[in-house]
Amino acid sequence: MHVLLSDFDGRTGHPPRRDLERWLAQEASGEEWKRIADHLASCRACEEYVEACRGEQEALEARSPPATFAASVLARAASGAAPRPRWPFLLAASATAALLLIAVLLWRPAAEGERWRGAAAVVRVYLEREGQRALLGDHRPRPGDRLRYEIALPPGQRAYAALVALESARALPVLPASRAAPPFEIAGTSFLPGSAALEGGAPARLLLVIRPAPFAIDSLLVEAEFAVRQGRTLEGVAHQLLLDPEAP
Amino acid sequence: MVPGLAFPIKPPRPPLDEAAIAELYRRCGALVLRRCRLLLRDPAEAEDALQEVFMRLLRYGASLEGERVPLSWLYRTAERCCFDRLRRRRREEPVDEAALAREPTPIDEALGSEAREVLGRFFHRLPDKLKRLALLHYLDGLPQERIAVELGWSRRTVGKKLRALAERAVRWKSGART
Ligand SMILES: [Zn+2]
Repeated sequence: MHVLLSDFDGRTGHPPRRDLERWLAQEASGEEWKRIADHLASCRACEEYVEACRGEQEALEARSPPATFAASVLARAASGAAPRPRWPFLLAASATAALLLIAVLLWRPAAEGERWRGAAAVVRVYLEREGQRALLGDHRPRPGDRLRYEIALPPGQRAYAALVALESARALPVLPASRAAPPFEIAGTSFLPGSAALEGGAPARLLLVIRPAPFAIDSLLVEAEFAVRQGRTLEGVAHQLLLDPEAP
Repeated sequence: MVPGLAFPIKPPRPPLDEAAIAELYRRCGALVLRRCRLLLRDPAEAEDALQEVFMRLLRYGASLEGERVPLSWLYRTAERCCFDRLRRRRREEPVDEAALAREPTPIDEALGSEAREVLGRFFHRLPDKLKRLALLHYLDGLPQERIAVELGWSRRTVGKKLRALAERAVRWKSGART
């Protein structure tokens, strides 16, 4: 239902913000269009509001051009993908068309085989792409790739592991994917169950945490966020990976 | 025109193709995103919600009449997407009202203090219908007659609920929970 004449606010004399937005969205026509155009020509506050909205649209299109956006929506709809989890790098099923225009990910891995609190925990990260698996080594991860973590503990040792993501100051569970799940209990040499699928998005860090005693994912996330805010190190980080799709 | 009807019957909207989505995004993308950002207070999740709005449009949009997808439909759908997300989020983590009050939103400067309080730190306490009322009133600045049309309420009900909302905001501000 459209109301054709703008109800200019009797008190302030400005049109409702919604009507300025409809005007911007090219929904206003005829008399309504003219009334708003006339008002904008003489009202600095409303003109500024409209300009700010235009600026936001330009910024949005610079980040995510219309063609890319449309292709990505269609691809997601076709793949029947559920709404993406909050952290956009991680997606159970990757929609390839959504990834086409995203820049190559940059990564800065810690040294392979990093030692874990004096004990020898060896971490190897593998990249899975098109059915092939290779050590991350000097491959650059791309959107659509999956990361798998292999952890080797000395014989007889037992530990607990989880992979979390840090996106600016927010920590999110990756493996296990739920904050309510327990961490993975590991021994000997084994792969962390599941994989982390990469998709474009904001820069983020993937942290593999290995600790000798069980811990709750929930509290690990709180700890991680606290550590970021305080600029401290998080205990038990055995491996970290910086993912930055914006980097040149 | 169909004989006997006073209004032309609009044909159902043709299915959206890539060009149509891109065009709609050019006209309305940032406006819808702005609403998602206000509701979610998380820029990355808001951009994801924006995509979800367009996905819902692909799924349900064919039943819309006319050629153009109205902004009001996009807003309503964005609200539903964001409410769903907020519910999921609330199950995972407690709401930090102080953080919500601090977190800047794109439209904060344009709003009065009551609007900021209701749309910011107290918003999550409202049932969905009142959330929509708050958006239409505080954010969109719509007059009560048009809010009544959007929500399917009488004008009187809109007035009553708005007064109750304002009173609640005052009580919440003074520290009462209900
Ligand atoms: Zn004005």
